[in-house]
Formats: sequence, C-alpha cells, structure tokens
Amino acid sequence: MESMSTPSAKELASRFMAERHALLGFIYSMVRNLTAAEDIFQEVWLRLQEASERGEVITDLTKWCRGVAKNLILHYWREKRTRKVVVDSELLDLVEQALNEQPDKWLEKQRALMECIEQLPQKAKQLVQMKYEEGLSFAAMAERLQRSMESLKMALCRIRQALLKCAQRKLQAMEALP
Amino acid sequence: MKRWHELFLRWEEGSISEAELTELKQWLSDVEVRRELAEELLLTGVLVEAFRAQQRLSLPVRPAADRAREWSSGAGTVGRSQWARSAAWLTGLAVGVALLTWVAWVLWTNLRLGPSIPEEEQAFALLAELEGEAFVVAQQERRPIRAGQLLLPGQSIATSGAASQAVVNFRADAVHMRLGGDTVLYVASDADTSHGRPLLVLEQGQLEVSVDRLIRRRQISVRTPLGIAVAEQEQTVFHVSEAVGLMVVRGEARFTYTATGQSVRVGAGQYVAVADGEVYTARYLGGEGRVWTHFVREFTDTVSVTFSRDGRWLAAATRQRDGLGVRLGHVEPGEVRALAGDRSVAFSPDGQVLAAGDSGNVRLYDASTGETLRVLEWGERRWTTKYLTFSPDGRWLAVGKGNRDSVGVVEVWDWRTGKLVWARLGHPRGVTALAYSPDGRFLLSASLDQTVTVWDGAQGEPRTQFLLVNGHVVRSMAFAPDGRTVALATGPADTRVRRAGQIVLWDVASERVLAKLHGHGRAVSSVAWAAAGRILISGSADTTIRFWDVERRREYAMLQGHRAEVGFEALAVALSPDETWLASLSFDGTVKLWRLGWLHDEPTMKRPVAHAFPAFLPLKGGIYAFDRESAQSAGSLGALLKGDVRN
Repeated sequence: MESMSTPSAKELASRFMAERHALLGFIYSMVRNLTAAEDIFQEVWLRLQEASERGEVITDLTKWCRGVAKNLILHYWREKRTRKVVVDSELLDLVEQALNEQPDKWLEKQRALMECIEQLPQKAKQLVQMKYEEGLSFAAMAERLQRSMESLKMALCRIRQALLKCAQRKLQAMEALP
Repeated sequence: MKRWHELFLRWEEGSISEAELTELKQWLSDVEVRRELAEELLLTGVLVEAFRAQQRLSLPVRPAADRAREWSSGAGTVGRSQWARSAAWLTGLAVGVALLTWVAWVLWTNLRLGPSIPEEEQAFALLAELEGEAFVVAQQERRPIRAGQLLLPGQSIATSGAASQAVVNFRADAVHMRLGGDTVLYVASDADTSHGRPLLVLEQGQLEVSVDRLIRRRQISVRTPLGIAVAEQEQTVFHVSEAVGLMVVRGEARFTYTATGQSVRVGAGQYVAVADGEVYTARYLGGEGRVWTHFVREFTDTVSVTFSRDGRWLAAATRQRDGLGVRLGHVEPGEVRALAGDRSVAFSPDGQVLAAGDSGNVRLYDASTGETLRVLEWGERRWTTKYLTFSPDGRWLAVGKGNRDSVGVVEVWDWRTGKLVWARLGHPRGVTALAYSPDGRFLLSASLDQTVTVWDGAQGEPRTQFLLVNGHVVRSMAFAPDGRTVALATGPADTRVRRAGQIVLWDVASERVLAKLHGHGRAVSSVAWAAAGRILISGSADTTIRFWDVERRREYAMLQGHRAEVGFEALAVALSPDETWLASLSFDGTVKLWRLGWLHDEPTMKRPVAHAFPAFLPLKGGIYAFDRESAQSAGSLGALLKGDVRN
C-alpha cells in the first residue's frame, strides 16, 4: 500500500490549501477550462510534495506554486496550440505579478466571500453556477437563457462586484470590532 | 464595467483580439489594476470551488424539523410580516445579548482550550493510502487519483473494484476515513457544512470513520442513503455502509433518519435499525467466526449449508469448476471432505445420508464415509438441480430443478429404492427453493416465476399458488414449528441489483401475509427459525446475518462476518438443531461457524417473546432506543449480544 502521511506532507497540505482559491482562480483564468484547471492544480500539489521529499528548500510556498502553475499553463497552451488557444506568456507574467504583489493571507477574504455567495439571490446563483460549475461560455449561456451575451456579461460583472463589495464590508465590520 | 475587466472577460472567453490583448497588458501595467485583478482571481477560485460543492449538496438532506426551523426563520427575512416588524427591536436586543454571550464563550473556550487550530488546517482531505484503483470524480468526469493527492471540496473519491481500499485523512489528520471496495464518497467543503449540511456523503459502498479529535468542537457528519450520522465526541469510530447503515465501534454517534427526521443516539456495539418508520438501535455482533472450510470463488450460483439432525455433521455446497462443490465434515475442527456435486445439500433425518445436487441429478452419499450410495437421474440434463429437501419422516426426497430459461420441475423420490414417486413441471421457470411442512403433508416450491406453489406432499397435486406481487423471487423457505407459518426469503430477481429484499411471513392455512420484515439492504437469500419460532435468522446478499424478534416484527441484532464480493448474490445460514452453532456460507468463499450459545441458554428467550425483549423502550415521540439498564437487568440479553458470539 502506498503511503503519504508524513508530518511535512500534512503541514504542506495545510499551507497549500490555505492559498488554494487564488491559485485555482489564477489557473482557471489562464486555461479557461475547469477540468484542465483542476488537473494543473493537482499537478502543482504533487510537484510540491516531490520537491519537499527531495529536501528542496521552498522559502515562499505561494510563489513557488504559482511559478510551477505558470509553467504548467504554458505547457498546456503549447499542447493546445493546434486548437488556436490564444497564448501570451507576457500576460501570464503580469497576472502572476498581480498575485505576487498581494499579501499571501487571503483567508479572511475567502471566508467572507463564501458567506456572501450564500446570500446571493437565486437568479444570480443560477448565472454563476452556469459559468463556474458548468463551465459554459457566454454564448452558450445566452442561448440557454434567451438573453444577449452583453447583458449576461454585465450581469455577471455586477454579481462579482457585489460579492467583492460584500466581502469588503464584512472585513471592515470585523476590523471595527474591539 | 471597467475597460480592463471587459478585456479580461474576453480573454477568459477566448474571444480577445491581438489589439485588445495588447491593451489589456497596458492596463495591467497599472499597479491598482493588478490589485483589482488579484481580487478577481481569488473570487474566481472561490466561485469555482463553492459552486462545484453546492451542486452536489442541493438535495434536501436535512431533517424535517430542521427544515421547518429554517423555514420559520427564513420567513422573518423574506417578506416580513407586520408582527415581525413590530418585534424587530426585541430580536435586535436578543441578538445583542447573544453576541455578547458568544464573545464571552469564545474568550472562555480559548482560555480553557488554548489556542485554536488554524482554520486552514480544517479544509483539506488528503488521499493518504491507496490499494488498488481509485478515481476522483468531479464535473461528471472521473480521473485516476494517486496516493498523496488532495481531494478538493466538492469532489468525490471512488474506489474501483471489490478489493480496492483507500484511506483519506481529513481535517489535518484529525479524522481518518477508510473506504472499502467500490465505494463513492463525496467530500463537502467546510462552508457547506456550516449550514447544517453533511460533511461527507456516502453515495455507495462502505466507510469507516475514525474521529481522533474535533477541531473547534466541529462535528463530523456523514450522509448515508438512510440518514445522517454525526460523530459528536472525540475518539469515535463508526462504520457507515449501504448494508448496515450506521454501526458504532467506539464512542457515540447520533443518527437522524432522513425519512422522518427522527434521531437516535448510537453507542458502541450498536447499529441503527428501522421498523415501521421508527428508528431504533440494535446490537451489532462482532467476532470473526471460525472458518470451517473454503471454496474457490468461481461461479455466482446458489449456495447451501446444512447441519445433520444430531448436530455433529456439517455439509455445504456451491458450484466449482472441478465439479467437487460439496463439503462434508464434522462441526468440530477436523477433516472436511470435498465431494462431487453442487448448489444444494440436505441430510436425511437420521443423519446417515447426504443428498447433493450434481448438475441435473442427485447424488446420495454415506454421510459417515463420503461414499456414493446412489445417483438419482430423471428428466433432461439441462434441468439443473437447484434445491433438495427430505420429508420430515425421512421417507421422501424432494428435488427442485430448472434455470432462468427452463421450466421448473418438482420431483419427489423414494430415495431408498431409487424410484421417482412423482414429478411435475410445476413452474414456467426454474425452482429456487423447497420446504416440507413439519407434518409432511405439504410441500412448497418457489420459483423464478415469482410464485410459491403448495403441493400435496404424497400425491403431488397442486393445492394453491401464491404470487409475490412486488416482483420478488423467493430464495429460501422455512416452516415455523407451528406448522402453518412460512418464512419466505425474498429479493429482486437479479440479486446483484442493489435493492432491498424482505422476509415475508405467510400463513399457509389462511393464505394471508402476516408480516413483511424489512432491514436487509439487498436480497434475502436464506432463513432459519430458532427459539421455538420466536426468532428468525436470515442471510442476505448484503453480507449480513440478522436476528429477528418475530412477535415484534423487528430485527434486534446483526452479524456481519463475510466480505462483499463482486457478483455477490447469496449468503446461506443454518442453525444446528441444539441452536448452539450457526453456520454461514457466503460468496466470499468461506463457510463459517459461529457459536451462539445464548440463543439456547438465554433464560429470557424461554419466555414469550413479548417479555423476552424488554430492552426496547419508547423514548421521546415514539423513537425507540436500546436501554442498557433493562437489558442488564433482564439477565443476559445485553451480555450475550456483547460478547457471546465467539469462535
């Protein structure tokens, strides 16, 4: 039986999972495919474990993971080139930079966002679900809902902004507590 | 919508032009835009994970009472009534007090328990060990998973193959889950569970959950097809499976029955049973039993096990490729002979002769030497012998034949002379079981055609026929000592189907169904009476042996001593005449012996059954629970069920 339960693996997993949402969002935004994003996410994790087992010193786990993810995204793009996937490593660098510039501790924000998602009205939930659970394109959503793509984009954008603002309010309220 | 956002959406859609891509990159040279983008990416990650998890948890799994509470509380926020508005300030006051109390509680617990474990340590599940093959299931796809891989919230893990096993560590190694073969487990996110939804959902198979510690006192909950099991204490170990539902090995768990919302506390060595919509606890009998002999698992066919009348000999049969599918030996450890034959065995009442099916014939053995005495041959070879039974006076041997695609033949032999007394093409499809009434006047035959026919034992004239209306097939029949009640072990025609079977108690004289006993998760394949008709013992394709209180029409104990196997279809049971030994033969290829001295010696069992089981006492609102104190005072029912099942 294979075994993988060492204290270091446990600690690694804790730290990795704490940062998972930003990493998953980064990968998904770049590969634009849920299944591929999950595969890359898992591969990052497995490589992190291998590196840890090799005794590799990882000073900044979050940046290390993003770096590996970036390489895997580039690899994914290269493999998909025949299918006319737009490839731009410069953009990838900029997006990575955007994340690297932010503080690593996203935990409170993640939790606040989760709470805000729970409070979304049903129709908004339906839209977000079609986009992020079913992975539908705006064209497919427009066809299903008999609405224009532009209105759907605006609607989704508004929902996202509302969620970010809601999370912000929650965090401010928490900070205001004595 | 900001311009950079619009461009990023186009990028995500794959519809961005070269010029727009250049523009997007220019936007991203602005540090403020990059900050906004980082937040957007975090939000995307949270959305992807949250909605994948929510899709799987959208079923109404909470108890009715919880849903009612949720509804009443929801009414205050959506469409407030006049009364609610006028009472708002009171609510606000209450919330304020509650908030202060909560802050005080948090401070107190933190002081008492020391620093709490970081939230991030609670979230992950890690596949720690894997034997065989397993898959991660997400987005309606399944991909192979390796040891060391993480399970994201909202994903399921599925072990593939009966022999496969996986260990998943959860909440920073505070909880260990061992998945059995062909098991599918869904792992929800902590955010999902904060609203009372279960943390884990067992969709199929079996799972052992070990809770070493509760982080921040958060409970571990598992949804099963029957209900929701919640471990509330640390150091709790429980099994959940399709077959057993919930069984607690150590500690204590709470079980809420989904259908009614009733809940019951389940202690160590207990499992959850349901009768007439009421949930209660019954005793889970541990122990491994003594393996009397092995078979090679080659065919998914009928199995049979039986004791000789003096209780000294045991015989078992199934189909084997080498044709040696019969086993004969002493109950006590010793040599077990392998003899030609298959599927069904029966001892003559004097114990001197063993009859065994042998393809389309019947082979008679000298029980003491294993030598063939005679072969009874009649009819077409394709009419496979499926079942044998001697008449109570030992004069006749009844033989049931036929397959799924052939007629069902019932034969009665004068086995001493080798003469066929009568034979009937009694069923349009094969015979599955036979039973003589205790006085020998009637012979019952059950068939794959879903009927039971009552024959005149001596003449072979059909007296009546009983059709199982639910489309089930009878696989075993046993007359109660009263001579008029028959227990029918029934289940779906295809026993591999994961549908529950039942035991039907049928009054032959009045042709009425007296009761239907529910509990087995799959087809019931064997029944035996005990304690002068007060107890029924049944074996099922769900791998369990269950003990039924006949008068109360409910199970009171369960024994699970066999492994589930691919193509598992049957588990045969037999009780020794002195009721001290139980024999079981299963598709896992083992014949096991269980010592059940309590069944015979138990003083309470000698009284009428209504007084024999005082341990079930009504608790609040008709929920039944096992009362340990009553069990102990009753003498030994508690004790016998705790430890008296031994090798």
